[in-house]
This record gives sequence, structure tokens and C-alpha cells, in this order.
Amino acid sequence: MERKAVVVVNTAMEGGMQHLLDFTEFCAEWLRTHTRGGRCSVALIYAPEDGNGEVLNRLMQVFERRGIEAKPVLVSGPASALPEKINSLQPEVVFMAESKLGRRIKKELLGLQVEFTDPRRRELKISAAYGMGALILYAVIFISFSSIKGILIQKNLISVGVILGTVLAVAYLYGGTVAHALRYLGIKPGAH
Amino acid sequence: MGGFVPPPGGMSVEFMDLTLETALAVALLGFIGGILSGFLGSGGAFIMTPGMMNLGVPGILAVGSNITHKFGKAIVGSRSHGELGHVDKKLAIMMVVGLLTGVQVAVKVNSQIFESMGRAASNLYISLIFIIVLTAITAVILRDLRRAGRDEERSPELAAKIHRVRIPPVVHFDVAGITVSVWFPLAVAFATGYLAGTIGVGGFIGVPAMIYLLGISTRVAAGTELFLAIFSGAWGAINYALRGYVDLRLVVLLYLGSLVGVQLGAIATEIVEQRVAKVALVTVIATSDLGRIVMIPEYLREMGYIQLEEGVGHLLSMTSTALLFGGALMAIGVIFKKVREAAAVEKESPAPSYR
Repeated sequence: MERKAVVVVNTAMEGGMQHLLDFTEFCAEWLRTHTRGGRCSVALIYAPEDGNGEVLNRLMQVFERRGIEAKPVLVSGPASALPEKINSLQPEVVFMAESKLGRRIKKELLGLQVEFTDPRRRELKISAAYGMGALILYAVIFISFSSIKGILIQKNLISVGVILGTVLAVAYLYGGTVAHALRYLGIKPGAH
Repeated sequence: MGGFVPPPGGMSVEFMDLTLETALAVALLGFIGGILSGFLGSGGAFIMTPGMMNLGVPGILAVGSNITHKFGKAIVGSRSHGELGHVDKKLAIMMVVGLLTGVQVAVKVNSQIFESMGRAASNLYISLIFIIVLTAITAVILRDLRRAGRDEERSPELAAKIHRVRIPPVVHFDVAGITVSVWFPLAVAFATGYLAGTIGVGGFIGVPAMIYLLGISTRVAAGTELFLAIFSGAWGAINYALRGYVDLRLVVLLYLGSLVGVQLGAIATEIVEQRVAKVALVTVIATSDLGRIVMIPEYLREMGYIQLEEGVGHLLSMTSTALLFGGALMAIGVIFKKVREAAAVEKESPAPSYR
């Protein structure tokens, strides 16, 4: 049985061509994983600003390389017409990138919706989450040091546990903040 | 010259009052040490421990805090480090015994000196060990720099001699590819552990010792050392913490700088050539060495062995700090100058076009 999917290629997506390629790679990978070698076809919906659909041809190659049939669907007109066009194709899965357009149309779509988050933005979010944890830990250590000092100088297993546990937590949380921030900047962190 | 009167036994260390300036200086030490560590593979302790001592942290507390800092970094770093796949497990397990014994003895000696003879004697002892190690390393690196290109293919003759010594038990290590009397890896591990426990610098000695004395490949030596560093760090941290010689605030402040610095240093390794790395390294080690040498008269004065004019102690401390930071900043300056030059060359070359 053939499974149908629609990929909404949004020109308002940030990050340029590389981001579009990452998005389509993600869609192709998802389809290959979830259809386990079965046939599937993809319609790439795109509202071209340049009018020549050159972008779409490059994106189609990503699917074709993985043996997924892909066809371009060029849409002109307002964004409000997009859900109707997508639903008319009766897709089982609709892929969208995280964007204003995606948020606007997703309520009107039929079928399973899969949202793609920009890997760089994801790294930033993860870094911020780690950073928040590290900040709280640092604040606790420095604000309440006079209180925890009593435990630290006890010279017993509890003081050892508190010291090593805190050190590991700080190294993990702050290390995660730095590593994900570097990935956001496009730098692969080294391990030392 | 006055006689030295040791303080009463059972002395315990006082945590310093941490001002904003001191906190920032510790974070900066972490940053500089991190860059050097990331760039050179290890060596951050050359600057972090003496740097903290110059800021007024007792030597034993600086060592205890630094070894605890290294432990956390080793645990977190080991999760993603590919080199952990190159561990000779049989060799590593055997070496752990010597390593932990070395750390244990070092912590015991360090604590004993501090508790029975006082802070100045402890600082003097740690500084003397630093001076011996740093002077030896400086000499070796300078010799390597002079010989550069002439003997790079030299076979480890000393290792071959050691392999011929058959004091039982003699064991074959598959991954390392050596057959050696177990007493040699145990001795190397003990020495590494002793230095790690005394001054917080272990791997920097352990890796070359494994390569040149035991004849192990660089990759297996580095992987095995990384594995061992977790144990020496953990054991050192536990032992120092059990004696109350770890200041948690110093550890987390070191992380603040070092975890960023280590990444910048690692990036620089891909750009800067080996010779520049060695020049940077020898600059840091030699100035750190001089910084420790300069402090010796002050420690002797504190112990009552010599007398110095008023203000001389302060001057010595300032000179030591200037040498330490000056050397490190000079080395980092050299590294980043090379990085900038490499970036400029890359910018001038035409970018590939996409089709």
C-alpha cells in the first residue's frame, strides 16, 4: 500500500537553503523509518517567490535518493488557501517546519502532523535549559554557602557526598550549557 | 635566621573570604587553564593550582579543589570521549592499584605536613614538587624543540630495555601490545598517582611515561590515562574532601572558566601546528616554574627560617602572579595569533560554490 505525505515548504523559514535541505532530510528519514521500506510518495507544496521552482527541484532530489517518489505542487494565492489544497491531496502525514505559517494552518489540516524544529534553535533551547539549571545551582551554592559550609567541613561521608554530587551536577549542567551553545554556533564541541 | 616552630597538631584549614575580585580571578584561572588543557591535552593544573596559591588559597586547599575539579570534568568528558575505546583494560586495572596507592600516599603526606608543620611548610612542599616537575618538563620540551625533525622516528629504546627485564610476574597486555614485568606499570602508576595527589598534575607525566617507558602507542596510552584519571580524580577528591580540604566555591568557579576555555583550546588544536603548541606549552610551564621559585623565600620567611624586609613578601607574591599570568597570557596570545592568521588565509581563498 502506498503512503501519501505532504511536505509544506515554507519560504518564510529562517536559515536559507541549508535549513530547507535539513528539513527535507528529516522528512525523508522519518518516512523511511516509519514505512519500513514500503512505498510512499510525497507532494512538496511550495509557494515560489522566484517563480522558477528551482528550490523545489533540489529538495525533491533528497527524497528520490532514498527511493521516495516526489512531485512538486506549486501554490499561488493567500496562505489561507493552503489547508484546503493540502487536504485535497488526502495525505496521511503532513510535514511542517516550526514557523508562523505552520502554527496558523495546522488546526485546519487532516492527517498526522509532524513538526520539524530547526536543529540550531533546538540547541539554543537545550542550552538555555541546562543554563537555567546551572544558574540555580550556582546561586544555591554561593547564597547559602555559610549554611552548607557546616556540612562541608564535617569530614565524613556526607560531606564527601555533598561535594562530589554538587561538583558532578555543576559539571554536567554547565558543561551541557557550553556544549549546546557551541553547537548552536555551529561548532562541534571537543571532549576533554 | 629564626628557628621553625611547628603549629600545634590537628590544624584544619580555613576557607578564605571570597571577594568578587577573587572569584573573578579564580574563574579567569579556570579559563586560562581550560584553554591550555584543551589545547595541550592536559596541563591546566600547572596554572590553576599555583594561581590559586598566589590568590591566598592555602596550597593544600588549592590542590584538593583542583583535583576535585578535574574529577568532575573527567567523568562528564568520558561520556563522549572516543579515546575511551582504546583502553587496555587489563593494564588499566593493574595500574589502578598503583595509582590509588600513589594518590593515597600523596594525600597523607600533604595533610601530614599541613597539619603538623603549618600552612607555609605545606605551601613550600607543594611548590618544591612543582619546581622539580616543571623544571624537568621544561628541559624535556626544550630538548624536543631543539631536536625537532631530527629524531621523530626514534624508537623507544628505554622501553625495549625495560621489556627485557623479566622480574616475575611478566604479563602480556593484548591491546597495548607489550609483554612486561608488572612492577614497571605499577611503578609508573604509583608515580602518576603521587604527582596527581600532590600537585594535581598526573596525566601529563603518565602518558609520556607509558609511551617512553612501557612502549605503549600514544592512542592506547591516552585512552588508558583518561580511564585512570577518573579513578585518580575520584580517589583524590574523596580523600581531600574527607579531610576538609576542598572548597566547593573554588571548584565551581574554576568550572565557570575552564569548561568554556577547554572548548576554545580544543578548537585551536585543529588550526595551530605542533611546534607552536610546544612553544606555548614550554612558555606556560617555565613561567609557572619561575613563579613558584620566586615564592620560596616568602615561604621560608613565613616559617621563620629567613628574614625579609617589609614589603618584600608582597613584592615576591606580585612577581610570582605576574609571571604566572604573563606566561599564560603570552602563550594564549601566540595560539590565537596563529588561529587569526589561519582564519585570514582561509578567508582569502575562494569559497566553494554550490550547484
